[in-house]
Amino acid sequence: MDNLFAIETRDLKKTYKNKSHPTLNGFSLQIAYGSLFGLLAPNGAGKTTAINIICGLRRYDSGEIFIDGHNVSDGMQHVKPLLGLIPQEIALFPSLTAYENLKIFGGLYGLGKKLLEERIDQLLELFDLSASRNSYINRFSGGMKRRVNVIAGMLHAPKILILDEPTVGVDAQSRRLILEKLTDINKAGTTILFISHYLEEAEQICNQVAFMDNGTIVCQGNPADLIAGNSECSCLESLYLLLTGKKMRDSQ
Amino acid sequence: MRKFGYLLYKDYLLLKRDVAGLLLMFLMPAILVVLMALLQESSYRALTEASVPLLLVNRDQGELGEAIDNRSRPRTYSRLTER
Repeated sequence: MDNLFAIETRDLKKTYKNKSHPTLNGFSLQIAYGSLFGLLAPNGAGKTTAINIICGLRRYDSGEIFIDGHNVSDGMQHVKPLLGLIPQEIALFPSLTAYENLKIFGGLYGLGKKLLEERIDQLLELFDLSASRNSYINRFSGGMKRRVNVIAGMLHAPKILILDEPTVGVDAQSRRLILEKLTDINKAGTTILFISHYLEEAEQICNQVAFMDNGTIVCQGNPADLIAGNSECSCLESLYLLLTGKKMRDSQ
Repeated sequence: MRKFGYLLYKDYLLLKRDVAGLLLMFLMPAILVVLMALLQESSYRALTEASVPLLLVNRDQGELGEAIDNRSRPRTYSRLTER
């Protein structure tokens, strides 16, 4: 394998037209193959912009992005099948059943009928939703919707899975199930980029984390090593607050 | 082409389950047609049935006067007043 990283960004810069300061200011990130990588950042730090740029949903001003060795500036046609994006918002059709939603998303990924049926059955079983496959999404609980949302992003068995806060607004049971299954999927070889506000989650499941602030990466490494390397910090949260500060960021 | 098929399937399912939306989709154009026909008809009638009183005093009693008299009668926009 020539390239070492599933995702690599080099000095990414992005400034929105109506903003005076850059949202991404030299954003450089390396995510190794097979890692479960946590990207942790305060509100408004630019993580959603970074994810959207990596997935080709937003343009960037300068810098380079490599996905599985493919330079994104050469086009997304080779890159898109490798990526599975699970957005923060529930991106499902409420008046359709779980099965119909998954069939449509799988169809849009270009999966054949037989393979799609197999994948839907397999993933519904994995996320404990087989009994609700023919129920309408608008009758699902928050946790069930979140699980279907996760399944929709991984129907095509992507090599790299990007999850933007997949456990927001779900109960402890659903959260545990999602994290457990993500760990299993990672162990099976999928590289996962996991974005979360819950630092204890990242500490629990990620083998690599990066802290992001003001559009750039301020720290990256193994959670245990990062904590061990700083005598003032006993957990990831205290290290995070030490590096990103305690100032509120909602106004950005 | 298959992806387009899935998009059509999705729209079909969404429409099928949105009865109010479906009714509006078919009823609104029909209501619009009726409404516009009624509005247009009144303005068309105002145009076609307008009649301007036209006083014709024919003292010619000749061929030319008779021809003018005859030509003026079928006009819908004027109402011939005879003396």
